Amino acid sequence: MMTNGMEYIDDIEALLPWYAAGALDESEIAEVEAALAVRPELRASLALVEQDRDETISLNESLGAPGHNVWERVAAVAQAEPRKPPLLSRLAALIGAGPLPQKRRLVWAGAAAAVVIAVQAVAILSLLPSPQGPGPGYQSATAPVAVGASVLVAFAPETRLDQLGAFLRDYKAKIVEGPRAGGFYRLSVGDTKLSKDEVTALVAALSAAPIVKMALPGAGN
Amino acid sequence: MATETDDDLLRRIRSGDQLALKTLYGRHHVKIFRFAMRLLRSESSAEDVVSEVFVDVWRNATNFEGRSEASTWLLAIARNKAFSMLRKTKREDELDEGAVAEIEDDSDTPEVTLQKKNKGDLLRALLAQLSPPHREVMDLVYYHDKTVEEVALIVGAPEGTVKTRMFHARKRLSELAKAAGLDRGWP
Repeated sequence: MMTNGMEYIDDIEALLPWYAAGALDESEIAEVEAALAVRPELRASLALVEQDRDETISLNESLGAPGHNVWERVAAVAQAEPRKPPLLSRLAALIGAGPLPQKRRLVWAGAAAAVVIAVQAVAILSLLPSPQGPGPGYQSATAPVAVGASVLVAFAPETRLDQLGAFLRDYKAKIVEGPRAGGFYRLSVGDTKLSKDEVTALVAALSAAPIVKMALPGAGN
Repeated sequence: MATETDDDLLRRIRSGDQLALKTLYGRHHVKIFRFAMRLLRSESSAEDVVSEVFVDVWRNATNFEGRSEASTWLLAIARNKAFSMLRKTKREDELDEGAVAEIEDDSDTPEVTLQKKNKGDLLRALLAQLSPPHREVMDLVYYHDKTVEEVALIVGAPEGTVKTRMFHARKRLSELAKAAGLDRGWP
């Protein structure tokens, strides 16, 4: 029983409108149907509820629709106030990557279950393309020719390898050189050269990634 | 090609995509209009609510957190705007929200509605007479197919209150019907 001041309202009776609207979950439906099977007064009540539902729908359907000028008003505001896409989306478009991850999606989800692997030079270098062709292996980074934007990135020490891999995939980035002094790696991002302003924006976006300790524009942009 | 979800459209709107805004408008403007019409009883005011809702969507799409359906979010915005207009119409300095909430429309009395052709006409006339909170809870459940939780989100009340309000809306409808000569035998 639900109570409302001194009034008692039967729980099943209270659910009948949602039952009639098809807006209950399976367990509630089962509960209502079990009660309906043994309580004739509830069945009578449901018939009234269904009447109310039908007339409410009929009444709403009779109300028509807004005029075309309403959309024109909305469109005029949208034209007059173009939204600036979020920085990450603009960069994604710029470097030809798909939607970039929201920061919170990267932030330590499942960290308790995951084995934390500190980013060390060997682990990062395992992601470098081998001069001898594909395949894992340690090789010194000798600055292969980068075609995208060049940036220097130092990663947070607690970064996991899977996070690093996701970061590189999301930004269409490759590690092309490192580590340098200060733990910096040179990354090639995307597959086209960017203007100075675009590189600045890219560096700002990379700096905001949770696994990035610091990002700087690289040489050769 | 699979139809884009409302969430997909809102994501595009956040990126400044006006076509996505138009598609979202196309999906929801009629229901938003009718919801506002039922509360405000004025076509031009309901149209104002629709335009303001979608302008808000354009400006504040980032506020949509995806914890509910987009239609629930839109109805909640529409409700706020409609109640704000109701308050202005009823002279805010004289009436608080509670008072506005309780006002029933007496433009079509039970005696007049008795003359309606049949029970359906009578019930629709009585539904139109309910107070705004009673009208909206009935509309949200029966016409907009909203769950208890969704109605609670839209009207900003606890779920228990929503159930109680619906019960009282039904009870009030039966009282109005009885006064108009139609005894429904409930409650």
